[in-house]
Amino acid sequence: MESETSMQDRIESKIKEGFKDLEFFHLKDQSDGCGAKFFCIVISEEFEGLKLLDRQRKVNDLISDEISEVHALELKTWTPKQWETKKEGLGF
Amino acid sequence: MKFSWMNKLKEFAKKLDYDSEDPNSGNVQNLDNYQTTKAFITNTLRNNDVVLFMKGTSEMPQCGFSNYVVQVFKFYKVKDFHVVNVLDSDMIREGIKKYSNWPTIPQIYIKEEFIGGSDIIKEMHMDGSLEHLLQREKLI
Repeated sequence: MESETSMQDRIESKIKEGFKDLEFFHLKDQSDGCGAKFFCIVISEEFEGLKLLDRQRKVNDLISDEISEVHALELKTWTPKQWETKKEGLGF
Repeated sequence: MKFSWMNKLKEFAKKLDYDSEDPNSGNVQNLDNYQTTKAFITNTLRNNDVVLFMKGTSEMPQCGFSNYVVQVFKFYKVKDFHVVNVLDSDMIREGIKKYSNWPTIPQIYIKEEFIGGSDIIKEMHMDGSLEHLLQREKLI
């Protein structure tokens, strides 16, 4: 459990440091028998104009060490405008 | 001296196994370095319109995210998607991450272009852009 928490902290702080404009951030530890698993939402105006692949790469690059250690990471990368339409569906 | 001729024989045997014209050649077990792995990947992508690097097979996925992509392709009735089971080979499992500059599995390629992982496929499925892409490329 200890290692999952510090992994979570590392992911959170690296992403927060990597974005000048971070409107919303959510990181949930969903680790199970398979290994460390995280669900992450990053909402930033900096994604505007970037296609999905480039958005994910932007986040991946910030946490490349951590990603190589976790079993799975589900990552949502949206602009604030997109978030307005999606957030209710995710329970926010 | 004994070892050098054995190594030469091994190298020669490996070269025979890999035939750049045959899409299904290049047994993943024979990939012993990144160069041969990269050639295998390039060859696979050149010879198949839709390639899914995943954990497990389409009949028996070994991971929820890989399974998700298989189910989405089945949903759209993608005619032929070629599966590479990365669990068969550590060289492929690590090689494809280096090749794509992408840290996770599954990885989806359509017409030799890297599309992304399961998160991206999910987004594209939900907003209709995946169907649009598959139709445009005449894959469904």
